[in-house]
Amino acid sequence: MTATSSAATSETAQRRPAFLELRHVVKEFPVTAGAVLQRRVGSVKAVSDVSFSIEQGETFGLVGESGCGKTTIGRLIVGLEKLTAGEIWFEDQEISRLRGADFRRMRRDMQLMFQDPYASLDPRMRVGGIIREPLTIQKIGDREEQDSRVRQLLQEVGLSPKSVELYPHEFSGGQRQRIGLARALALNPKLIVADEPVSALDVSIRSQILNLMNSLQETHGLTYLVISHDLSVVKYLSDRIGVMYLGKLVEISPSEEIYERPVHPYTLGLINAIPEPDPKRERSKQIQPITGELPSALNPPSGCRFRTRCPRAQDICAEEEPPLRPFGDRHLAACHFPLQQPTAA
Amino acid sequence: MSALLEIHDLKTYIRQRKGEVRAVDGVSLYIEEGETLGLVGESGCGKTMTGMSIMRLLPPGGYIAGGSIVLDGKELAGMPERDLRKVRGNDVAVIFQDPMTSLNPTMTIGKQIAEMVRIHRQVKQEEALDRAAEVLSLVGMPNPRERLKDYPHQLSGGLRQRVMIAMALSCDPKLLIADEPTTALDVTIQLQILELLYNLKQRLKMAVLLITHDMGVIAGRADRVNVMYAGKIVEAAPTVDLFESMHHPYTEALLASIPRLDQRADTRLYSIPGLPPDLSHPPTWCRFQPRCRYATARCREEEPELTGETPEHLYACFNPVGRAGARPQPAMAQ
Repeated sequence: MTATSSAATSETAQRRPAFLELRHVVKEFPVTAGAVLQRRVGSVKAVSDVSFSIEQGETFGLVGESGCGKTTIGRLIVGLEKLTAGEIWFEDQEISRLRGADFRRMRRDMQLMFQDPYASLDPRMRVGGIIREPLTIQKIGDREEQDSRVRQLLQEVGLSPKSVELYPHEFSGGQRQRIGLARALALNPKLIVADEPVSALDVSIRSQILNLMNSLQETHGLTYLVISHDLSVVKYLSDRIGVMYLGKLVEISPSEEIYERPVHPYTLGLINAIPEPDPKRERSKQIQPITGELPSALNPPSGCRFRTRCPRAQDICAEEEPPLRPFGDRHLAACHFPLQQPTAA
Repeated sequence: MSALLEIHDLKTYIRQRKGEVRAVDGVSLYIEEGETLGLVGESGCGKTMTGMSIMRLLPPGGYIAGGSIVLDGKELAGMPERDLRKVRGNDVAVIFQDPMTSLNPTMTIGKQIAEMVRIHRQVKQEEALDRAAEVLSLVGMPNPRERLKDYPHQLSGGLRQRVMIAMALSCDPKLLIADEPTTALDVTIQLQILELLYNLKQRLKMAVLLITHDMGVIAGRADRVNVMYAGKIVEAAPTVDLFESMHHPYTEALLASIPRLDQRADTRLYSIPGLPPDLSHPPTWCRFQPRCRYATARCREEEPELTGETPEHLYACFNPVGRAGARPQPAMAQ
């Protein structure tokens, strides 16, 4: 494997990297045993050789079920986890090994939006302080300039300027997510990594935040990486979508096409499993549900990782890991028995 | 023939330090035998409290302030706790959202199911364990006999939910209350559990009260739907009817704000402005009025009743969607 991946790396290294580009990213977490002497007994490959790129101004969605590694990818990009192997390029710079001042400078351009608006805001800080904090850390502007910036941000996310004096508990979930967005925008970032931005919110509030994210993208020229288990949310926001399963990227495609012409059996299973608010369609669905449970990431199946639950699996799927192959314009999938004809390379 | 469950003007309040929250404020609904009734709404609308009022499993400070709950001819609302214990599990059973917190982590799943059987039936432990294995195989648990000795932490989320369903079914209830049964599960597992519930319902001729926030789950699984908002039912209709010709602006807005897989990329979602009202001081007029795009002066003066042209399709609105006179008001139009 090392031989092929280093060959691929040298080949991609020739061309200029995209705005954000992941190259053969691997992240392993150690598994330890013993209460005192933490012996290392194995490792979980949370992310296993994942490559993709995002263009500036684009929204890229990562979708998959629990344990597929989507959140780990988000954390690797913003530097909350360290890579085991691979490279992450952001604006012509390999960022995964940046430290100190270089890292902090780069991180201005890259902000996180969290899932749980109840856990991600300090309950003892006033909203004004929460939004100002990134400006203080990066030493931007004096007190007065920061104050006016905070008011401007609040207005942009649709909150009253009076909010600066209030504490997070005085806000609803949707309003807190707006505060989180204002904080993320404070440094004028270029990229926002949004991990499950609306999963904790009710339907009526969810659409407010989704629409706000869209309009902020237009006004600020933002690039989004949206991470979610919910394919309908990801599809609503994204230009392109990557589908992950057990640490692997199994399909990557423009978002219209992923619904109209899915290639990987897992993608199709995911689409079919989503209950749609349309009784006649739901009742006439003739689908073969994905059977069984998610295998352990500690000991993933050989070959194709989806084969244990796949209706199309055959012997070769256990023996050989399928590579990502092209299935049209900017459409890749990794399957030995795809649902569509591959395009000639 | 009367319905299996009839709830009339149910009021469930919760006493809190700051005052009383009217979580359920005059709810009436019925479920026929063998039918699945969907109860849908957002957090805090009172859907879970309605379900839990039937079982009287209320949070601290919660009490039934009025109304009646008649199950199979028995009034549950005023029933003493002792008698109610015989009803719980036997006539009505419940499955919750999070199977990990509702199972006992220190007991094997076999013992937990057997305990339930022995509380309600005079049988020996072996018979109870036999019954446990039987219901586990009913819910599609692989190798049910061996699984009896497993602890909850040894099972995945989907299997745990199967154990919860097995436990609920162990005494052949007439009504199953499923409160967000699949919300904590991944979509592929959600589909498996929903299929299982549907098949069991058909085979056991059980009625189901399906409580969920997910309009998609309702669309595929419920025979009729009641939509709740701020402690009240705002619309009640057969499922297909509700999705095709909804009358309440809240139902319409709720459906319009869900991103759908088949919609074009450039469609903008409708978003309902504002927030639901504070249920410790609910308004005396229409509770959806401040967020409603059809609201007129009348909506701020009186509270609409739940009525309709036919008894099957009821709605609580003065300016129902799709009727003459219902126009988006300029101030509220988006």
